[in-house]
Amino acid sequence: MFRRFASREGNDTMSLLGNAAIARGAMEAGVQFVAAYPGTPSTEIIEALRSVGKELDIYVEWSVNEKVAMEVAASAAISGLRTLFAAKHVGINVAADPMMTLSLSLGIVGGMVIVAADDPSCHSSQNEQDSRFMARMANMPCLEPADIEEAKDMTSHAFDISEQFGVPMMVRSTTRISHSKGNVTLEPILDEKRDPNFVKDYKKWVCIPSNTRVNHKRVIDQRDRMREWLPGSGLNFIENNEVEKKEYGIITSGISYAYVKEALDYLGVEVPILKFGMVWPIERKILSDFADLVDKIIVIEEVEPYLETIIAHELTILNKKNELLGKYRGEVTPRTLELNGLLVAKGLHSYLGGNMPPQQDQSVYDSIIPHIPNRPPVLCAGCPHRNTFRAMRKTIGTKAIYNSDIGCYTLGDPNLTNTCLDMGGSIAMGSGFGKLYTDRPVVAIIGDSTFFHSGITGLVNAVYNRSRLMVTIVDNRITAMTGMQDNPGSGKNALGDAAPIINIEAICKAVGANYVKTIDPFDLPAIEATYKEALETLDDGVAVIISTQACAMEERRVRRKEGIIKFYKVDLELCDGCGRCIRVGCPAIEPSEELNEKGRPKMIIDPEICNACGLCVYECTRDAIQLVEIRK
Amino acid sequence: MSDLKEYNIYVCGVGGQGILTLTDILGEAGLKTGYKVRGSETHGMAQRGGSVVATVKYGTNVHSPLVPEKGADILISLEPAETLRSANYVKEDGLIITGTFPFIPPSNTYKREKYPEIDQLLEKSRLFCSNVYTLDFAKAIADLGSVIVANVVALGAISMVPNFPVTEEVIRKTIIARWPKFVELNLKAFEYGQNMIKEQLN
Repeated sequence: MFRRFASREGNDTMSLLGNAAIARGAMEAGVQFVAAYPGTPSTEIIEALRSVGKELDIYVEWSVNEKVAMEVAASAAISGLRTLFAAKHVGINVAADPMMTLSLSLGIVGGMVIVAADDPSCHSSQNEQDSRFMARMANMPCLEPADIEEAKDMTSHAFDISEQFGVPMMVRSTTRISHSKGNVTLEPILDEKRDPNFVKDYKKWVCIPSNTRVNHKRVIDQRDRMREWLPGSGLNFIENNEVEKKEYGIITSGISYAYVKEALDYLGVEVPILKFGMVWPIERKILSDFADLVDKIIVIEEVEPYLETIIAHELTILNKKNELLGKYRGEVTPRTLELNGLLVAKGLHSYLGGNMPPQQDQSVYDSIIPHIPNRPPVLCAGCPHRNTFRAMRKTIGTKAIYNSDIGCYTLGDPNLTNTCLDMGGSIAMGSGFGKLYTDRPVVAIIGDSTFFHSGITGLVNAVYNRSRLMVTIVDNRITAMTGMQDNPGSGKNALGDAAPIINIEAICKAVGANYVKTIDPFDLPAIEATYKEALETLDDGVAVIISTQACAMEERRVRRKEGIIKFYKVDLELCDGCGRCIRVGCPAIEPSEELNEKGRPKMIIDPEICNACGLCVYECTRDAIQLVEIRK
Repeated sequence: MSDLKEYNIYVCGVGGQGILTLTDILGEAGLKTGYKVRGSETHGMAQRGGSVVATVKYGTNVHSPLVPEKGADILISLEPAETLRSANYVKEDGLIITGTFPFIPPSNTYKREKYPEIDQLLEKSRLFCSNVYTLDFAKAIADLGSVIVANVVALGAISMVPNFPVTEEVIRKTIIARWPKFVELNLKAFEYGQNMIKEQLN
């Protein structure tokens, strides 16, 4: 599988994940330099590229955050190398500062592609924002692939266009492109390595106002030239223009194009479709042709009416009077959550007629819902964060204000999670709360990767402004939530080479926190004592407790590689079914079929799930839980 | 065979059961057969224990990776409560293959809630599609002596479904290619699944 993906010749058809297809597109375009910070649903783009990095001589790095990644990438792009940056939608926000100026003023020399992976329906995100607005704001050309094949081809094509016009290009994906699979035809990998060639030019690469005023005008002229170039590009096309009935026409882009095709199949009708591959800038000629072809235009897209807004504007410029339907008028599709073929069919039915799409009797489904147990996300068995939360609950209590951050620990304990805003927000919000409340402790909980990402600046702020804040850094030496990426604390870089381990404790001390201590969360008495000690010092400033223990899933993988299997086992003779251990909230602990005298089940531990942290042992009053270790 | 218009497969279960691998094999087998293939996967934020759904679609009319409600020709579920959760995705005249061994959520244990009766879950699932076939994974695991093959047992069962657009030979070959080191165990599991479903189809 990997050999085929990395094949230099291509000449093969395989089923690829959208993100792998984007990576392959970059490889085929001869990408040489890649920088990113992990974030679902974009992470696998970089995972795929780093897996081939050494073999194809592509430099790939996990940068500490998206802003840094964008700046690192900019250095390569203005040195003439083909460069890729990828982030989830909210990562684009973090990178927005350098991105805006790079597009609006500086420009690039080597092709530069910025992949934005949006997440309609928030499968794994804090909001549903639409990165196409960011591209528009940056006046940066934006391509939107509609399927996996296009994801590869457009990424590859984007490098050429970027280089031709000297501007970074956005490729906008969504979860249903990034995390879906489809056939892809592989083409050869461009095997042409360039040497970095940064040419000093004060007027071009230095964004002081006098330069920027000139450069901004150049960028605007360039986009106009791009509009003129677009008609021959093949990026946008009209389908079904020969159909008889032309009362309605549909404008769409990205994955919504696939939903439109399926919806028309359901309905059994055909109408003209204008599909935009480039959603900024908009090709006026094709829009003008389409406006002349049909009477009314329906725009189909997910979440925000980006395209609809832009099309309304362009139609005015073109002096076209077509009625425009979508989300502002007609409510054809909902303004939140992702679409599918059926939803689009339902929306189109009242305008286009045709067969009624299948209807679900909602009352039947509603009637069964109470019978289905929920499976809320929980910390894994053996997760060291569980111990840290337990210690905080016992020593700090629930009266405190707990500011959480983005990572596995957001799922730790709802009672100890009072705010969660964005990456790095825990310490900075805590810094603010610490100024507001002196009658109760204010706590920030942040992971190692998030601390490196943007927690450090918050800590500097809290110390500098004398906030009264207790910071807990839950340090598991890896970026776990996005799928085990290495970070500055891991000792390895993205290409798998040894890297310096950045010392979190030394950072906190250097920043000037009043109390700094590193503890092992598996040593429960010690961690509780440390919290009590730290609480005493809060009136003197910021206290930081670094709770360091390897991620349970990573630890398990390493252990199994060494042929060691460790788990805890309940001795049912000793267990009296008191149920104290299940309050730990560990997914490995289950009721057994043996009942105690009150008819309550005694507990067992699933050896397949248990990661041998031993937290349940602390709860058991009858010494019924024992460690089992098997060496193969 | 390339004139197949659309065949939709909806796969669900609990994180850790091998849903994504199962889906991968179905996708690869469809590709080998010469179909246009689309597929998607949704797994919440949990490494293990969360609900996982995935789709595979074959055919010329296939565009998006999603299967809408009442859109699946077949629903394959590795866990009985998840079967009911996704039962609205299968066509009324479609088919459900479901594992009957429950995966009890830890929050159920913690709150001392009772996991529903399996028979009740199956009965409610029949409200959406009456064609339900079951796989006893507890028995399969005991007989095969390995816990990791539930998804291969399910693949065996799928390969026996009447009019399934990929032949059992292609699925078998895809499994062999996927795990060259574990051919014997996987083929045993595959045939085990085939036999389990054959008895019910007859």
